[in-house]
Amino acid sequence: MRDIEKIIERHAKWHKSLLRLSWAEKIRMVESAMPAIRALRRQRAEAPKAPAQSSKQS
Amino acid sequence: MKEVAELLNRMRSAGIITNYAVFGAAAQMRYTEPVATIDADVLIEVLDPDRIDVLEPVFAFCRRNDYTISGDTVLAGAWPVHFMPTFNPLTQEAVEQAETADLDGVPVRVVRADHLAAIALSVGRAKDLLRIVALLEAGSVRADELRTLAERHGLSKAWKSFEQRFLHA
Repeated sequence: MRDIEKIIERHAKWHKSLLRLSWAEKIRMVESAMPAIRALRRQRAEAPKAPAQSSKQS
Repeated sequence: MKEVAELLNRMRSAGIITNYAVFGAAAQMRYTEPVATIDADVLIEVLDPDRIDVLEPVFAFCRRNDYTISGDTVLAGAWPVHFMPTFNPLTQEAVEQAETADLDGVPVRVVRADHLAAIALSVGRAKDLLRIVALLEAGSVRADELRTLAERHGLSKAWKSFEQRFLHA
């Protein structure tokens, strides 16, 4: 349980530290992630769509 | 993004556009945590908003200056740029009252957080509403300020719906 609390605490700290970055720093961060974002979006677009699930239970 | 800022400033100096302001996800990052995006949205004021091919002077300028045009976007550095002429009093006000930010020594106009949230409210898709939540959570805009702005631009109903779903839930 303590481990989970630590992870959440660390995660919250990381988010706060992102907020403190300047706009230029955030922009550079996103620019460096662009190839990965594009690859993920391409992958998602090319993935076969899952068939729609019926809400009725048989 | 520095290349985007340089392109926009050049277009304004050349009189192709009269004014501009970055909005959308790229602008949001000025006020919140970074968000995953691969393009830049820019509101522009054009000289002749009534012409049918309203963006043609923009594209012609970009072609003359060797920018790559792909579909309805212009590639500036790593960023495909979407140009959107202002289309209502809210977007016009957003451009007029935009702030000038510094991007590695290059000035660039960016819409204010409250206008960004009000535009998101007017569009109203799920991702736009989440943008408003992010701006409120970051403390970049206050709910009462946004309500006033929304009311002034005929968005009272949209604001009430947002408030019920996200703030009073």
